[in-house]
Amino acid sequence: MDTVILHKENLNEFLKSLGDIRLVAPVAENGKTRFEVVEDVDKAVIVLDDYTASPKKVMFPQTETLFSFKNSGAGFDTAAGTHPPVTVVFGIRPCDAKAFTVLDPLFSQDKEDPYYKEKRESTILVGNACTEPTNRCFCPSVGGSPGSTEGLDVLLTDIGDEYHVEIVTDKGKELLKGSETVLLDAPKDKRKAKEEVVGRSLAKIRRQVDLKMMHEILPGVFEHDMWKEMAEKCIGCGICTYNCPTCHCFDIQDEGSTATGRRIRVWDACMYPEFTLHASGENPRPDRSARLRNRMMHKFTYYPTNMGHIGCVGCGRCIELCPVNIDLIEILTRVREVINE
Amino acid sequence: MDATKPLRNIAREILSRDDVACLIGYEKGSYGFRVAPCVLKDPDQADRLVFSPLCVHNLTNYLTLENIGPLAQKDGDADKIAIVVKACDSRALAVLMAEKGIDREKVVVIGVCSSGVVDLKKLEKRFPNAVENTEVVRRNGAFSVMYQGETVEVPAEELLSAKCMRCKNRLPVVYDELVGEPDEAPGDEFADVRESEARSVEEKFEKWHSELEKCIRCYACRNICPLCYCSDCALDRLNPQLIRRSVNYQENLLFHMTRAFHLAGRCIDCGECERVCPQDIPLMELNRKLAKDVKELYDYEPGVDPEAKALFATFRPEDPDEGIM
Amino acid sequence: MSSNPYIPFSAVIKDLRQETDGARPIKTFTVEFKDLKTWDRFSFRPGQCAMVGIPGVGESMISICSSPTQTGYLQFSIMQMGKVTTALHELEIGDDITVRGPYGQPFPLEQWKDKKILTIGGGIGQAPLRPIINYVLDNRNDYASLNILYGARSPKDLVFLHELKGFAESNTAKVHLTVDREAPGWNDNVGFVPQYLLDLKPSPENTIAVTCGPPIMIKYVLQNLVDLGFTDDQIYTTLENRMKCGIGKCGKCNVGSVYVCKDGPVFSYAQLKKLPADY
Repeated sequence: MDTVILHKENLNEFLKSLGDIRLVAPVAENGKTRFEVVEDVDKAVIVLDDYTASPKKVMFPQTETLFSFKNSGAGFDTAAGTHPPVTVVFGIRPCDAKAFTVLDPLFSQDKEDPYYKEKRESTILVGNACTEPTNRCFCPSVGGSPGSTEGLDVLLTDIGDEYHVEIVTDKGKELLKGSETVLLDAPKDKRKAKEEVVGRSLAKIRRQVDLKMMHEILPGVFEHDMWKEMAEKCIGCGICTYNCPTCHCFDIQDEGSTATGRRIRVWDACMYPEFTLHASGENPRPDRSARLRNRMMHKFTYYPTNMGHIGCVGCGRCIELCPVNIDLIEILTRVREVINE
Repeated sequence: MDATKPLRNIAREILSRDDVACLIGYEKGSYGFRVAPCVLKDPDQADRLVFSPLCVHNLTNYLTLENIGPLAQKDGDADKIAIVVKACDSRALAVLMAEKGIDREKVVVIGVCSSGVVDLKKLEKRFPNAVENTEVVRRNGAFSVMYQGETVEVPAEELLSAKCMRCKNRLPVVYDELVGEPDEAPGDEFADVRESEARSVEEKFEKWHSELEKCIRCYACRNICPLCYCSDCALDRLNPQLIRRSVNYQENLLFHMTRAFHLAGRCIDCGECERVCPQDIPLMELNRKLAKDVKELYDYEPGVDPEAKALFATFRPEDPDEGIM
Repeated sequence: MSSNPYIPFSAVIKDLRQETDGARPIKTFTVEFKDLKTWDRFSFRPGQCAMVGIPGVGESMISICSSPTQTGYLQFSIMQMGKVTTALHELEIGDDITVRGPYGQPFPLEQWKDKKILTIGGGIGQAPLRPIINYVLDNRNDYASLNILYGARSPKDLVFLHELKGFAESNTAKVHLTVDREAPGWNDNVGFVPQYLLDLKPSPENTIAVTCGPPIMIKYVLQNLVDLGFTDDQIYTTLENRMKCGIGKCGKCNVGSVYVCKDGPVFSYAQLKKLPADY
């Protein structure tokens, strides 16, 4: 792939040179960093050293209108098929970019999901390699890396005064056509600089989990007591699910009245007790241990079995944000202990 | 004073009793400064217990969660649940008792006198990316933080949780066993509430508009709250539906305002809602404003007197309202 | 033209039949698509389901209880349970309704050719079995025999009673009805369905048994079928679960790595045994 150099002081110019696109980047807002649309590059405070913001909502918004209706029988209005604007997500982390690759087969298999598909096809991912992984990161355990280009169209790596820029895909190449003035040839030593930076990053990642054969091992502990023990502190909120870049469960609800309204889909979490609750009152997963077990197995056995990808990219947000320290590294380590007993 | 040793001794004794099913306490977490709630069943597990300024959780929440709490117990189940509480946590017990949310006879309360817990977000920002060999100990006016092989002294007020800096009382209001002695609490004059009350309506509106836009309706605030324990939460129901499932400012506003009012006269200022919020929304501002109003209108503070009745379940002739609505 | 799987088809209610009364009444809806071209996109097989709904209220996954050999319409037997089904029960003939589907794996009726078919139903569980019955009756020469074992709590809880009595009278199928307890005017068998199954002692030879009903009934029926000598591949059932998207994406209906909406709802006992105990 092509490699070029972008001087840091030219970053804003670079972003403006991307042309008539909708730019989404991590911006500081009210004490938090979030991926939001940037109207004015010079006015926005784009944050590149943040590791918390998640861009999952760009492809899979938390609330999405499937269609609206007026006077039953008069047809349904949907945004699907209306071609969303070309969007560039700038500053996305390699783990979050990989997450979209993990989600792709689910939304495209069998009956294709047009809402996800359209956004996915019209979005270009310009990544930001991780130079300061945090104590929740464990991407190497799931085959990732702070400098991975998997799932990205372009990857920027901070190598000091410049960004090392890798043009990974044709989509990325097409995007950068207008940026020739700020993208300079990369001399050999700068190319190597990325490897060193990534090497230093990898050394900072201190948490890991052995996932060898995990998708086969997990079903073996389905009946074990360990799930009860692990789930005892769970409060059944949606923090882990909503912040997870590969979690994709949703609910469908109708709003309005039968005269006029809309049908929406919203994020849902399998950790909520009502997730599987039947109208009759029956619940196949009535307690927290069943729900925690299902979530773990879904990520590490069911999803890999069905989609060919582990349903986890090692970002560790679930570990950091869980109010009661439920830690999937701890859980999977325990699974292996139980099997070895 | 290190509460860990005496706490373990008491726990060992209590877990040896025939009538106690389990003990809910704190144990070392899986990484860094994290501490985790734990449910112990055997006396030889007692050495897992810890008590330090990192023990931020209000464990009374578990008494009203499924599978552990007395509410979830089968009829005729005689087993008791032992629980470790700080003074702030214990106020939740008092409110639960007043509401008959728990059966006092079924709970063995181990009160621990704490000098305050840390604000984990502040601590982890100051000492980032800790993985192992961490500890935080209170020594008089400072926290000794063991981090990356070194011990750093930090003045207590730089790391203390905001709620501890306005703590009214360090002695648990209800307990069967007590560890430690309470030190003097700074007291609460609702200074923070007065400050926000002084702002204009426009300022307050704009602030809360931007805060509530961040909310992702994960319901962690509701689920961690020991006093939110309705088995069929009004804010979650579909039939009738009071709050739509769509996540936007309007629905979020309705959710948080309604929940704050449902907690008026009941919220005991443990601050857990704010601690767990992944979006850093200052939820306690809402609850404390209502707490100040409750104090001024009804001269009532929830949870400080275990014998007191629930405020909005009782009508007194001297109440400012003319009748019960 | 690529279609949006979340947009339902518009339909209208052509007929309503009250099957049972009580706290949870059951009504059979006969529904026709407003646009006849919809049939080009809606070709279904017995065992499949569809999302039946009302925009503004919601959708509910219901088994199609008519056979594709009954052309030009779809039938759904719906028990009033929650928000959506209550709203459906308030509809009248001529009202609009939406249908989305068909979803799921059908009964492998091709594989069952020349075999003896035995359906074992309980309560509303008879509804997903009805398409098998109607299909077999419309293709009578392809199947060796049809035995229908059906029971409910009481005579007034039996659905499709009129039809079943008709089959019995015209001898197009052998019908064995039962109710849990004695009831005035009831002259057929009295006893639970799993027990009646044992009493009837069907031979497993060249037979396929399909069962659907309350979970507790299914549990004992499966046990008894095995005791009677049926192999795991000769026994079929259909599962239900809370569903929303119907296309295996929203994650609600999974049992292990299998989605009931897309990989089910029809499962052989052999397949069922491989699933984790999460349903």
